Amino acid sequence: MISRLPDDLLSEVISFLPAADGARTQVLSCRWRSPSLNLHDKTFAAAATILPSQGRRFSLTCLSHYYEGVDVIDGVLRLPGLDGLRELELCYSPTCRTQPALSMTLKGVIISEGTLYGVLSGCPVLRSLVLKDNAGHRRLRLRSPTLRSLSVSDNGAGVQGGNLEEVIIEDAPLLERLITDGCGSEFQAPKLKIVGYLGDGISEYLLGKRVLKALSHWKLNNARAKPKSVPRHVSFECLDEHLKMLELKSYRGIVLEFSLIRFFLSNARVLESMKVLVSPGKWGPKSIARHRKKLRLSTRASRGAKFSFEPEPEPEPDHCPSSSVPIKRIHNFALDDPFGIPTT
Amino acid sequence: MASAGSGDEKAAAAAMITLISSDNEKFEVTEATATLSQTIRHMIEDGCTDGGVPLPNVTSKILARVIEYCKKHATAAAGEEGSSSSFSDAAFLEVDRAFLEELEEFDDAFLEVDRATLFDLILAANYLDIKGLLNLTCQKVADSVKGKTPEQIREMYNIVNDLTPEEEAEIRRETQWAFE
Repeated sequence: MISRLPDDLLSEVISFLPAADGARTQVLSCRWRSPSLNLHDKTFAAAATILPSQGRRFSLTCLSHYYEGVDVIDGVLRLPGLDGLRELELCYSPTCRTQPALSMTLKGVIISEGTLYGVLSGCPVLRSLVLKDNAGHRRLRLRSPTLRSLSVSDNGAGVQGGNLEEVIIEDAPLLERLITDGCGSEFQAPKLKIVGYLGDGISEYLLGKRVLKALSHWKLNNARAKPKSVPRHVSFECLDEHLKMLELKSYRGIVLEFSLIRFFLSNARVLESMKVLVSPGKWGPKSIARHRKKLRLSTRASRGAKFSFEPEPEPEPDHCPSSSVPIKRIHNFALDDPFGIPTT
Repeated sequence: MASAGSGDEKAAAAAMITLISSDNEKFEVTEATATLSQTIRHMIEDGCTDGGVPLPNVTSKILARVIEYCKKHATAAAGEEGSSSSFSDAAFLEVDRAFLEELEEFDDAFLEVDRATLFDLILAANYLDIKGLLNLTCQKVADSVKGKTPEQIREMYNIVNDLTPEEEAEIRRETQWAFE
């Protein structure tokens, strides 16, 4: 009874099948011999083998970001078998076509601001989002009732359409983790707990305008602080009641860093630990001891706070370069501290 | 020929279209419901729907099902137009999701038909050019084939294998990757 369907409808049905299932139907009978195929990214290479046989309608769907796919598509499009093709559909769709995604990573994509929002709107229950080294948009304006973790970073390479300059979180009531490389300006995220490797711009909103004065000379490119447990973006409340852990990366021992550390030591009342990461090659026990002395560690607002100099870990291959957090760990909510060094 | 004095009647009926099945049964539907079919939309645009739209390829049994689908999805389309919220609006998302779920449930229930009816629906959706219904029904058939061996599919749909053993061996060689 399926034979009641005319050829074009038979092709239509087959086009809904995954590549392997679609290809297998060719063996059913003569009528099924030359159907359309619906190929997904993992079978791009297979496309090259099938196409020379007489496909009439050919659909390539790339469901994820796929660097190597580009070359394969290019090769496929040059095949002589395409001459008799009646319809070609190339579909690059990183949207969620089946189950709405809970976590998503967009990496190395040139995407306009509007398209990006389109992709995000296809994910209404997104919990974790990583945007890494993308281009084509200068601004990210985000509202999400479900997002709990967000990482935005940029490799800084000048790509067409511009690099990200501004991140505005208009409303993210559930956002707990924010990992950026400093491109940020405005945040409405009352539940924020972990904030990663901040640059200059972000600090004033997170710690409040009153703190900004104290940090006005924070312009150290390679000294980025990581205040944790920061649930409010206003006033000293953060320092009085919440800030438990602070980490300062790439410490060089210059005056500005001194005053920064002193500021937090004198004001963070519930601080539990402050870590200062130094390059192990450049810092020996003697120079560390000298700096400890200079920092007057005995004078601090939180008596119980631990202070330590620690060697800076080597970044893992899949790290966001600026934040030093592997992408997989950003998506993992089981980890209390996605920045932490793995214990494996 | 329009009869005199039917002006009011015409205005009232302007949004209604009469569809006539192959077995001569008449169905009154709103224009919004009918225009989910591109075929009927074009007929309306061309002004040739007076006196009803004969659909000689569709039986009353199938037409009734198609109209049921169009009614539900026409409401959906109207709902979408009415909303101007941005994608990230929390309330909008909530409503939207609930509605989409309801629509999905409707579609699932709608597809609970025997295979003969399913193929009739595909043919009707194709003839009437209702993209959503065509996708839905084709997907249903595709799902029934997914993960099955050629032998199982042949048995399920009474497909006679008229390939010679040599031809079949050749196709299997070409599509070796799909059998692994």
